[in-house]
Amino acid sequence: MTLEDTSGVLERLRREFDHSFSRPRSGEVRKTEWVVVLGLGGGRVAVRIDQLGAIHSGRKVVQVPSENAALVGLAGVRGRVVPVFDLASLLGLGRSPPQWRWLAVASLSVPAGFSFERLELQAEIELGTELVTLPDGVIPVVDLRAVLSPVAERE
Amino acid sequence: MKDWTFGTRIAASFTLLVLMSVILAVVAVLTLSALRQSAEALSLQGRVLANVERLRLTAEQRAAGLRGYVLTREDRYREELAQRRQDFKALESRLIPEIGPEERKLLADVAESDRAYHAAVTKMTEDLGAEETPADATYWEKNIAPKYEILTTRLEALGVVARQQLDETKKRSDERATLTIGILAVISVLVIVLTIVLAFVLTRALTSRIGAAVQRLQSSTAELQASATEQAATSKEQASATNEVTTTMKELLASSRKVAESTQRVVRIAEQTGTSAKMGQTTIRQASDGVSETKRQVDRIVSHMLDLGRKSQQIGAVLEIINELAEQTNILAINATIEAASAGESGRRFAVVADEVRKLADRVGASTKEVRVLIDEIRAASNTTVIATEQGLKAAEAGSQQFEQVTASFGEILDLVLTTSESAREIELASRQQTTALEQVSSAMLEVAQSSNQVEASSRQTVEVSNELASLSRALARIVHSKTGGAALEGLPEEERPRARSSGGR
Repeated sequence: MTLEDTSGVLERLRREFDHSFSRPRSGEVRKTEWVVVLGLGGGRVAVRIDQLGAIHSGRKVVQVPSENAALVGLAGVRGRVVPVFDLASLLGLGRSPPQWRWLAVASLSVPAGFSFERLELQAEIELGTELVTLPDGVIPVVDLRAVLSPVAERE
Repeated sequence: MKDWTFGTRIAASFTLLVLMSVILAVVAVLTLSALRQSAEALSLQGRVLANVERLRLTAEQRAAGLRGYVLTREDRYREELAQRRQDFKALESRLIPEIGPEERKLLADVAESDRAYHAAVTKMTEDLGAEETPADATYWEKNIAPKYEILTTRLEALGVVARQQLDETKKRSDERATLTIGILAVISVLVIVLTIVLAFVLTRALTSRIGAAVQRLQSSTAELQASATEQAATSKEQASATNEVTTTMKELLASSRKVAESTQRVVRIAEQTGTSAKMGQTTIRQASDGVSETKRQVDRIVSHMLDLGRKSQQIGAVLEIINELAEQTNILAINATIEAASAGESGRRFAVVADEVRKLADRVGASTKEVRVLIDEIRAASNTTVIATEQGLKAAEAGSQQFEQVTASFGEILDLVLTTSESAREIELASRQQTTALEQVSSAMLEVAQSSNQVEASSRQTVEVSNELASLSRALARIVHSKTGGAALEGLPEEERPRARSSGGR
């Protein structure tokens, strides 16, 4: 980006921001849903937003002994103690590095959270799609309920 | 005397001979003087006797003149008488200093009788002239004859005495002569004997010494021959070597002249180099000033670049803040979307706002990334520039130091060039002096070569002379040890006989 490009970016940002207010509200039923693409170990997965309760970064996780190797520890989220699991270990994608900083709380019947390495982006996909097509590849959509619920209920 | 040299002996011998000769001469002189005195005495006595006889004759002539006058009465006879009387008196006067006392006494008697006779004659002539007295025989007998008789008797007595004196003188002279002859004979015999003895002694000494000397001469001559031959060979080699050296000196002289010419060119080039070096030093000083100014400019640039780097880092920190804000905004937007999704239909507007917020966060994130990239590029470029500038500064400092070193080196080069120019001038001067000296040496070597050739010729002549000297020494040895020298010479081979040599120069 050159100095001339930065001035164009500024104009573009202003234009798009202003344009966002000029678009009419859509009354149609949305046929898409939002997912967030997470970086796990050596791969990436997508998680539906409606399966998430919140995403945090830099939360402190207290390690606790457990037979479950995927259990990272306990974290306090909005006044609740939430077990935190390593999503990569649960999905068989290796284990997140010790310096992970992202924590997401799944919207489950039992409160549970999982750690992941990177928050890549938020994407909109067609409703019911199990794959997210990105310019750099196709990413599977993970069902958190299916992955976390059994583990969280056991713990 | 045994320690005397041969020359001393010869000198002594000749001195003795001379002494003897002197003695002989002195004796001869003395005896001859005595003989001369005797001869003079004899001569004197002879003259006395002659004068006495003349007296007697003069008396007779006077008597004859008187008789003539008496007979003729002519005046001429009187004149003759007078003349004869004068002659008689003159003879008396002449005799007086030449006679002894006894003769003088007799002469006095004669003079007395002469006076008486003259008186008688004068009276008679006067009387006869007056013609008063005739010529009378008795007058003559009475007056003249006795006196004449006395005169003649005394004259005879004088004559006898004179003759006796003469005889005695002659006798003494004869005796003296005999004595002289004896003395001279004895001395001569002594001298002859002494001479013979000395000759014999000297001959023996000469023979022995000369024989030894001849032997030494022969050996020395042989050595001289060998030395002369060696010298001739050496002289020949020296002459050839000198000729080679002369040729080499000529080549060296030509080379020296070339060196002198080259040195002159070097001097000119060195002077031009010195001028150029001075100009270069001025240029270097100017360039040094430019480099110093450049260094100061680079320092300022580095300072600005470092400041730019710090500003870039500050911008990066701001970007981090913006990025963090964008990320937090994105998280909030995601969480807002999540909450909106949880809220169902009532959360749809909120979902829209959350979506816009998320988009804004995405745009901010994207822009932040782009700006970060730009900032990173700027920072990288700034760092690179700073590094390059610092490297450039270091290079400039190194270059400045090198330039200072170059300046110092150039100054040293200028000094060296000036020194070289001075040295080149000195070398040129030395080359010219060397050329001059080589020319002198070359001419001297030519003279030496000529002298060597002359020496070689002289050496050859020396060899010839030494050969002749050797033959002479052999001949001399034969002469010395042979009784007959001529036969010894005749017995020599033709080539060994001494040849006559001119006494002039070679």
